[in-house]
Amino acid sequence: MSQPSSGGRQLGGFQIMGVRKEPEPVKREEDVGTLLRTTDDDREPARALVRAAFLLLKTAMMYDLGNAALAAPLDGMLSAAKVFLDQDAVASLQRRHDGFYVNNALVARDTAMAELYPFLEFAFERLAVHELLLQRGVDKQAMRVLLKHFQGRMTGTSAAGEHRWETVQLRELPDERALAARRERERVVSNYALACVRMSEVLNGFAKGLAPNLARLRSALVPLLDLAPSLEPVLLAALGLTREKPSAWSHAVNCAVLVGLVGKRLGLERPRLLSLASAAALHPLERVLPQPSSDKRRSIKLLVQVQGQGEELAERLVAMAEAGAGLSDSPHVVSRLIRLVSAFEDLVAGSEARAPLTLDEAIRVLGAEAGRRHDPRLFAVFARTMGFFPIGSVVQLATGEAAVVAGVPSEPAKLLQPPVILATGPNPGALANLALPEQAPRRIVRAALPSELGVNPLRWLVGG
Amino acid sequence: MSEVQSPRDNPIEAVREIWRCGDKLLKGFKLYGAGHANAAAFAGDLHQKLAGFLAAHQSLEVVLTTQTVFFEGEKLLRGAGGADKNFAHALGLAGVTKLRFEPGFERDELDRFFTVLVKNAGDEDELLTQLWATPLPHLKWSSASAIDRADPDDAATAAWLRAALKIVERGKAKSVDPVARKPPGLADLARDGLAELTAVPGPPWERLKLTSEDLQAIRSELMSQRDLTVRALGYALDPARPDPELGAQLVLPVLERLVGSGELGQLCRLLEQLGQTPLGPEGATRLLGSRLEEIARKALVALEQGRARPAEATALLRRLGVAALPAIVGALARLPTEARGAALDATADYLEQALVTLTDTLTTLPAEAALEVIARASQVGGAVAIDLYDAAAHHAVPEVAAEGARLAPEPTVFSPRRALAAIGANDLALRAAALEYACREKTPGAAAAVEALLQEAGFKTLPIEEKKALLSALATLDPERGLGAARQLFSQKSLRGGLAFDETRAAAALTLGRLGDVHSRRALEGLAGRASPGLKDACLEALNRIDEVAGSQTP
Repeated sequence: MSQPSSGGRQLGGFQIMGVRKEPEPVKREEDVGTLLRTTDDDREPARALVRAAFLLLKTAMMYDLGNAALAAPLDGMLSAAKVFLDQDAVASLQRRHDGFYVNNALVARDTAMAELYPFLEFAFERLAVHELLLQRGVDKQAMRVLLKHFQGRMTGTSAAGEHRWETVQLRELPDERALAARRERERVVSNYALACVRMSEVLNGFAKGLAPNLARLRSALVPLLDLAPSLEPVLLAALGLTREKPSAWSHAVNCAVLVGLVGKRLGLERPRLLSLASAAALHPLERVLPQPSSDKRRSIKLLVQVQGQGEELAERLVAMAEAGAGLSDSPHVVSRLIRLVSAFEDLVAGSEARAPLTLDEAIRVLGAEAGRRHDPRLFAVFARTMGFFPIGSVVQLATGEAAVVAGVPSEPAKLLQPPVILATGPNPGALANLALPEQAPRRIVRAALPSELGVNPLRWLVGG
Repeated sequence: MSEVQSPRDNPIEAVREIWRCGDKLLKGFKLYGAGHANAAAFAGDLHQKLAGFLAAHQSLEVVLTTQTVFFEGEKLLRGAGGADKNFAHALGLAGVTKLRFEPGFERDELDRFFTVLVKNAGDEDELLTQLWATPLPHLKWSSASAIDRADPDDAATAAWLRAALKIVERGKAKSVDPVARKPPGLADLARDGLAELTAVPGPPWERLKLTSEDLQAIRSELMSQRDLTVRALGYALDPARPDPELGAQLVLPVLERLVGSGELGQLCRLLEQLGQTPLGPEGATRLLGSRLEEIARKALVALEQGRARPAEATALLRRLGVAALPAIVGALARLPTEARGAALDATADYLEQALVTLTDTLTTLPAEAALEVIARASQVGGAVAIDLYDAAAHHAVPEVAAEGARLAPEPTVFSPRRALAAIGANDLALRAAALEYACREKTPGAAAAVEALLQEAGFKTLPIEEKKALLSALATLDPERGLGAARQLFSQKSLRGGLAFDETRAAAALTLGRLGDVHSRRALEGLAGRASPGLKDACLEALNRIDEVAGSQTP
């Protein structure tokens, strides 16, 4: 038997050879250090600064300020910053929407950086700023103030947002903040576009006699129903995008959005809201059938073929039969609501035979028909939700300016004085609340079709 | 490093432990189901750890990717198999980018959350939809749009992505509608039937009035699903060619929800409404087809668990109608023993009537249905089953008759129906056993059956012991009737007299004595002095019994 070696291990009195020695557990700070040593590249000072910031903040999260473990990361950070401080007098690390920038140069998110980015993103998010700015003269003491603030943010004892010390600053990037808000509004438009595409897939499926995937449609409707009130104007304006060339799918999605909006105003619960919206989306099924038929129940039979619809199937069938094909003289309240919004959509989208009405004209028409063709109570809820000049209306003001309606006044008496975004004149893009006394000269003279005044309401509501 | 001090408390290990527990719970839900004790134990463990973390750190927020999970910028899962140990992996795949648990995240929220994860794990679309539709007030998440996640180089997504981006790009254009369309002319509008537009009124302020009652009424109407189902059925079913499968597809989800939540009253009303559709009541029951038994069983379980009231359950069973009786028997058979007892007690009246009806109609059922009924009856057992076996034994199809005869117990094992039949039969030994059973079980209808026997002409020719037994049984079953019959028999007169006549009077005298009838004392005393020895002895014994009874009743 050979001599036991350091590579073997004892088991039950026998020496097992060839078993690899278990590696020693690596301590966290050593782990990070190893990572840095293997990826650091002195020829790229921007990357070095990103890595130094990562190490410093990471270590600060793990140790108290008095801990000796912070000494090396502090030195590393100051050393990495020195290159930029010597050259530009400042060293700036910015978190922008497309990555991290050092003194306005993007640090590519390659494999090595991808390991560091999640933590740095978290740290900047926790600090609630976009930029860490170091100025010439920055030293360890100044950095410790920053680290103390960072630790305070972690425990919730320091205030978030901008801070300025002598040589260290935490700054906001207003453009980034605005861009983030704009991207959020743009996402509403893309969600609407996605719902339109899903709807057209569903209707195409029906037209070809296939059973479409309703789950995809429902999941596309959810982001439109789950919208913060501040983003609803964007969605309402987005409905106009597809009215230029009215189609069954655009009609369907717009009806779903409007029904969902009314449902939200009524405080319906989410499952009911979704059920109502998807019923509204599917009510005009007969519009896509290849050949017109006297059999009004054809669309019903088609829908029933789709499996797994659960309780919602009944609602869809009723909506289709009463709001779509018009089989009933005393429609259910769901059908009455869908009929109302469907009529609104038909009026504002127009058709080959009839030019479109403006949004406010459509509301007036529905108002005149309330009590005869439409349920007066539902009209009242709808009109209060939409306003007399619905969001997205293009209006001409007494000052000669063109504007886009951006909100619905909460007081019914002020429904004719909504907040607007000025689209022309000396102050394009400015928000004007026409209900305020100082805005009295900006009385709405008339509403117009977007094409007439050359204004795209959505563009103004999204911004930029 | 010199003088390395201990690290600050790092919550990441606590979050890793939470994720381990979450993974265990997800697997527990998949393996055992949500209601299982093991799954409940795992859920309790996870909730405890989560609550502890939330108490210390206000909230727990993680960043999800399709591959892994980050907490405070650090990967939670180590190693290549991380996705298998990440209970939120399906959410990451579905596009959820952030997940945040907030203080107050209750145990039932946890159960709902994991139920959604398990039920919809394979369906990205439905997962996010259900997550949104499920009440989870202390769970927040954000997700990336499908457009943001779509790969433009992927052939499957390219087409729809292009279509969607076309719409998005239009939103950025200067004008939505590049070519101005001519505004509508008044004459055109009038021709289109929109005369209102030719004289557009001012804002209809009066049409905007809405009271809180109006709002509440609209809200309630919109929340109601019941009426919708019946309406939908009306549209979907062609009265000339009803399609039960289609109808069931429409109605069953609603019925199952109502049954599941124990809303049997509403369920009853829905069935009533269904009966008013072109289907009619029987058609409505047929519509439910093979699901009847499940509905009946759930109704009985809801009753047993206290989620439904007995009256509602009974009303529902009645509403299901005669056609549902086999299903009800099946439902009873499939209930756990202890629940079966409670269900039988609570709906005893109805079930008794229903099963009598079923027994009566068993011979008219097709052989297959009849065999199914008696097979299920054997699981229920008891008197009900005996009657069904007997009925089956008289079925026209020999196979059913043979099975009924095979299952039927000995003739001396009684059910109320069997006992009544045996009382009227000529087999004296069987009748004696039946009378004993009827007296013991207080079988309804037994007194009338015995009384009818006493009034038959053949009664006089019965042996004295048989007469005594019948009168005694009647006195036990219904003392008032027994007294009336005994007085009548005792007071009857015959020109010819004879042994049979005396024996009848003797049996009646003994019954009068047993019942302590003081009003018959004089007649008994009169006859005791002059009657034949047998009758005389009976009268004396009766008088003694009357005295005993009177004595025992004297204070």
